Amino acid sequence: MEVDKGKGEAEETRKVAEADRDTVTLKSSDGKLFEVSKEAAARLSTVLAGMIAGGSIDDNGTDLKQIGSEALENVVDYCNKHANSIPSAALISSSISFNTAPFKEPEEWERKFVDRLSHDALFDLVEAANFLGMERLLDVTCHKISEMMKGKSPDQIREVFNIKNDYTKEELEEIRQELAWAFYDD
Amino acid sequence: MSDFVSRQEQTSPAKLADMPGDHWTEIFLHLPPQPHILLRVSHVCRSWRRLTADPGFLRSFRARHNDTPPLAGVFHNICYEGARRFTPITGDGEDPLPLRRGFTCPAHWHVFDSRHGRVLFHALAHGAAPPVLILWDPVTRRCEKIGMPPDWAVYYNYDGKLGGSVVCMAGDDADGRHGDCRSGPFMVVLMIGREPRAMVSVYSSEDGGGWNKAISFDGLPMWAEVVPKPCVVIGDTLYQAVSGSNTLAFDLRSSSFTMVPNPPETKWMDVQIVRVDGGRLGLVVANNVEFSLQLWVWKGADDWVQRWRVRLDTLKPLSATAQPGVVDLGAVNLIGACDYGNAIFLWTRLGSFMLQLDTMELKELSYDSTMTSGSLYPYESFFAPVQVSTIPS
Repeated sequence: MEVDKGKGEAEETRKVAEADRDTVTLKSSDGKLFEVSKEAAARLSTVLAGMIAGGSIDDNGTDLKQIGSEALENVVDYCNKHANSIPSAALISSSISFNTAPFKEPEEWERKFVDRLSHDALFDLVEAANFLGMERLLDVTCHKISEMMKGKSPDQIREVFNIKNDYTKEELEEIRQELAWAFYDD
Repeated sequence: MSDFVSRQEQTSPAKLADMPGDHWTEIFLHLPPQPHILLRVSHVCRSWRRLTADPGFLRSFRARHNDTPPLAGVFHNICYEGARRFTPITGDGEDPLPLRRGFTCPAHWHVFDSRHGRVLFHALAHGAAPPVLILWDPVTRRCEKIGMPPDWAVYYNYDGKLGGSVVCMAGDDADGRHGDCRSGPFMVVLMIGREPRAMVSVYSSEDGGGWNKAISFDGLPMWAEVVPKPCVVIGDTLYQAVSGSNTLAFDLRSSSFTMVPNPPETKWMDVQIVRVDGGRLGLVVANNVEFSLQLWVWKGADDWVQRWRVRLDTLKPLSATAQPGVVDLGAVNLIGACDYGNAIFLWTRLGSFMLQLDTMELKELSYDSTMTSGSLYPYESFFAPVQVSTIPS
């Protein structure tokens, strides 16, 4: 399903949403409307599930002021792709504690989904997933970012993420002693 | 800018400044458990150090990895001055770490054991210095000397090779996991033995630390000798390999010995004791006539069940070189086992390998020329950044 209807098509979107209660319409901070399957939204986002159950979904477009259109497009895209893939039981169980549950490796389509994103889009998506309570999407995006650190020295990690080394000379001297006997290769 | 970043996109500075610490914490939870990875991340900047040193984060990080400390590498005994004594083992898909420094120690120090994040050395008598035990925590960099037992002289009357173990007193949980015990009380167990007698001395760190009187056991069968390989501790019992066809069990609470007869089929074969299913005694046995390995699981008394048997020349990468006429693989030596990682180490003429016991995956250990064919002492530990006084937590 192509989702970005743009402002011009808002009226039509509203009609479609009214006629077909299987979808919900979401509005980005910059006013763009996106349509997503109600079932997928409720299953993948605890926040949207709560809004749907509580009747606070606006048929003219539920305002998500914290999420820009690019990130929201990715969220909706993810929901749709997820709805089209065969969901495995582990992915949709939401009762497990988020921090400690063993992470299930991304599926092929999830990997492709995050691989095509720019750094900034990826970070935006982390924030959107966090805001919407989308545990799996948060996991997949965070996992992707963590993989960017793999096999890299602190210097290389700083370059990738554009981070300034703010250690003082003395601190650096102190931390360089850590595991220096075995691992220090910077 | 280095080559490798110019090929990728960098994060824009504004985006980065917006990222709350919570999100970085989420991201760090996805890092692999090997200590060098969190170490490098904690060296990136002060705020990342604060996040990775947070006790709550470290608890979640360990839980994410099933509270099973990862294998960081292996210690070994090549005892000449300047020899590297530690070989890091990286995770899958990662390049081997460059070993610019590598751990070295005096040539008269022998690694005895590496368990629960602690490393035990036996410093042999050297010049005027008497022998001493050295206990080292590589993460906290704490090092302590433990004198040999006061009745140490009795050991001189025994033939055989001295072995030693360091055992955490905290024990395992119901699932066979150990948790973070770094600062907890521990025991050091010294053992020596040749038919008919085995001797054991136990040091406890509690109450200021001290040795118990040496305990002897006169039940070693004919030809039996205590093999100075690292023991395996399951529950309160320490299992030590004995040459021949037995395993010596020493109960750490009651200080009593039992002989566990090995499966009769495995007599005189090379044996590696392993912990299976989180808390069961297992034996990996090398049959060098048919070049196979077998895993036996102990069900109590003399009841052993063979769980699997595999010909080594059917496993990659050994299979490629094991074609007739290519290379004679000769014998295989079993040279160690992970405490928690469900893997053993073996040595063949082609090199040293780690064998994952659940997947039967063989991984060649990449090492420099100083690697030994003697025992390997796996170092399994999570990394925890030390608090730096100038960085507020």
